[in-house]
Parts: sequence; C-alpha cells; structure tokens
Amino acid sequence: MVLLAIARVLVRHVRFAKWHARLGWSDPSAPAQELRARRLARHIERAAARMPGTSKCLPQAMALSWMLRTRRIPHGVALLARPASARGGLDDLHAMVLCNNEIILGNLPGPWIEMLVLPLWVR
Amino acid sequence: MTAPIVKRTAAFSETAIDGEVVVMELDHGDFFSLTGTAVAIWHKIDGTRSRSALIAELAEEYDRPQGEVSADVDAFLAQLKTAGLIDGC
Repeated sequence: MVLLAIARVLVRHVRFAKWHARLGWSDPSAPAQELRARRLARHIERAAARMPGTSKCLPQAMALSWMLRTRRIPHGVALLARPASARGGLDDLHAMVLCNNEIILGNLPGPWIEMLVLPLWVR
Repeated sequence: MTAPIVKRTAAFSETAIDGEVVVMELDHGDFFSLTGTAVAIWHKIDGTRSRSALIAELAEEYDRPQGEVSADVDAFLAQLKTAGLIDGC
C-alpha cells in the first residue's frame, strides 16, 4: 500500500523524467518468473482496491514494477494510448505490466498504440 | 530563421498509426496527437529544412499562399517548441 501511495504522489507531482528510469527491469540472464510476478500483481490489485481514493493503472504499474525490480524479476511497463478512432473514453491512456511477454497487470482490451515500454531498451 | 529545424529525438517517443502520429514527451509524460497537415509538417522536420523552406514547400504542396501557410506553420512550430519537441525555430 505504501508503494501505491508513493506512486500516486509521483504521478501527480513529479515530472515523468524524474522517475520513469526506475520502471521495468531487463536481465537476459534472469529467469522469467511469470507466476511469481502474477501473484505480486494480484497483491497490488487487492491493495489498490482497499486504499482510499483511486489508484489508476499507472500507480499500480509503478508499484508492481518496484516490487518486481526488488526481486530482480524481468518485466516491462508499457505506456499506451488509444488510436484516434477509439478515443474519447476514460481509458484513452493506459499502463500495463508485462512479464515474459504476457500482460500481468492492466490487461484492458485494445485497440492500443504502444508508446513506450520501460526500461527503454526493452521491446 | 534560416537554421534547420530539428526534432529533439531524445525528448520523445512517437508512434504512427492510421495516419495519426502520437508523440509522448518524456520529460513530463505528456501525449500529443498529430493528424492531417500536422503530420505532414512533423514528417518534414528532419533537420534539413528551415522554417522558410518548410513554409515554401507546404505552400506549393497544398497550393496555398505562403502567407496563409506561415501562420499555421508558425503556430504549430510554437506548440512543438513549447512542448520541448523541436529546436531551431
């Protein structure tokens, strides 16, 4: 819950450039650990549901990423936008966490335009 | 005014889809949607064209007076500059 609270503050008050380098983890030699990453993702979702206020996709993705980084679990944080034809709703922008090329957090149906995957060298 | 306009490529990430270019500015995390003539101008900013060359080229391409084109181009370039996406104008 503390990580979610910190993430919410960062998103709201701190420039993106100051914290985006601390998202995602790339280590070709590390095992994928997708199952473990999924369990942590469910933990984040439960924590977000219990917290006052709303923890949107990006704070959740950030909090999960920090937990995965601490455990050196390779993953990516994808920042996405709706294409123009599908825009105008509440989720025009979105963040997901991927592990082993699978979406483990924030799996909202597309269509999506992938803008950025962090860390920046992960694709 | 004769210096070429360049994109600050380290400052953003862009994706093109269905005639739209979506740009994510990496300093503040802002998103920009470019469509129509904005996409044409964006693609022409490749470090080889000055503001005046850009206007002349667009005026010919769209068969419009340069005076009319320059107002729109200058407004767009000002937005890109404010967003930190370009240098040189």
